[in-house]
Amino acid sequence: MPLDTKKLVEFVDVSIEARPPFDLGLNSFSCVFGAGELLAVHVADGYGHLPLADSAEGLIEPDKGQVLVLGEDWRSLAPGRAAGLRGRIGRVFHEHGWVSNLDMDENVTLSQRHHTLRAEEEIVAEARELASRFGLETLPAGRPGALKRADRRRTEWVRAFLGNPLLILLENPMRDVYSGALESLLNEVKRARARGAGVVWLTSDPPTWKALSGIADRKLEQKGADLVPVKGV
Amino acid sequence: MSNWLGRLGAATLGKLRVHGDTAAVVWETFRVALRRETWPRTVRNVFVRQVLFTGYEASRFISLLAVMVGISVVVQMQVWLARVGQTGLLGPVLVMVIVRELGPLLVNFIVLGRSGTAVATELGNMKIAGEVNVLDSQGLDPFIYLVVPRVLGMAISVFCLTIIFVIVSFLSGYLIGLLLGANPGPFVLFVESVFRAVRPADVASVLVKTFVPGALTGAICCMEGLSVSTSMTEVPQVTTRAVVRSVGALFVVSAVMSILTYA
Repeated sequence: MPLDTKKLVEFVDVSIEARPPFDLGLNSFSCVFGAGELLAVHVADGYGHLPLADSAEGLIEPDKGQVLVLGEDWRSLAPGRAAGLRGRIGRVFHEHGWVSNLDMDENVTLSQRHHTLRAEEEIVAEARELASRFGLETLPAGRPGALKRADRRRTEWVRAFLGNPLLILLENPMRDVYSGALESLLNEVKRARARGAGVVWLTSDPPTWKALSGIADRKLEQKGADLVPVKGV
Repeated sequence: MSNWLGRLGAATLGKLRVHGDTAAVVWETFRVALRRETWPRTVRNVFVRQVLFTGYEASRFISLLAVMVGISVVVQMQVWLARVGQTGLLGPVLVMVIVRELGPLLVNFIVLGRSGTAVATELGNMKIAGEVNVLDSQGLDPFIYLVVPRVLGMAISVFCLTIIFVIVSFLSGYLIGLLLGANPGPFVLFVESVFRAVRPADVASVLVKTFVPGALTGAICCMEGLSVSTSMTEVPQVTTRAVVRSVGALFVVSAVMSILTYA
């Protein structure tokens, strides 16, 4: 059955108290975004870890309000269905995003190998294609700790876009990466949106925010625990 | 007085709750393991790696240990039973000592020291580093991906290693006895006396004393590892706790099963 993706994720008056590992909480946040949309969020440098991505994935329960995915409250979903939906979300994590006892290629393909019956060769070929688009010579192998931070970050981009996800959550994806790589990420976001994926991009990087301002459907700026709409650049 | 009683009651209930949680984890592991959707290739990979690490990689050390036990226990029995003219009891006594008691107990200890501590430490470090959250956010249920294959892998490994232990200790005991001139008799008769001594209760005893403590060790080590919440310094603490609880569970299961077998 095709999914109704007009409302991919909806936050309904969501409040989440600030608690570790987050720098801030959310305060009565309401927002809805659907297929092909780009939501850009400007977060304060050094206070950029918000519970937005975790709550969008239903990993943390809001203290107040509801987070809906495809029209259903995360809390009402059976564990198997919730896991299946999370398998269709790509993400670049705010901080540590790797399982350290798996090699990088295993990490990158983990979700696809878990949730789909696609052949390993096909998944790896897609990952290599994405890696080359992001300027990586090949899909990195070896343990995550053995890789340069910039390469590790760009490999996280590969994982986020692998398997045509429905929703892509990018938490400061340009951190540790040279600014010249931004263009390739923007191009991939454009492709993903054309395919119907919704994208949430959190950034504290001024050049990135500037680049997003021209293409985002909606922009939000963090003011304390509030995310307030921004008009123009 | 009432405060003291209250604290005692609360502590007792707390302990019972922990044991209940452990039993629930083992039960749930076996329940979900029967479902086909629990076994995508990623989970199968973790299971195979766990069996390789806990079972295959430990088999050499277990075999070495079995040789030592074979030398010290089997040879001594051959010698002493021959002196008192009771060589016919060799099979039953060996089955009682090695199959029922020593084999499962030693193998469980080795698996706990080698793999149980590794599991508790690994999962504790993963939890602290946010890696469990990374799995969850990709739709990999931590219970199915981390706990189920480890608990089953340890239970199956303990059983297989015990079989290896028993076979190697009997063989080495016979061979060393032969070399030392302990007159163990023809090999066929030796094997026959051992097989004749094995009763259905012994088979049940080996199954229970390997699968159950193996699964309990796996569950306890996973639970303790995943209970780490804030600091790296908790990891050695939960590992120690996992070892103590697993040893306790091992002795309780062994004792209960021995009573049931001999009763």
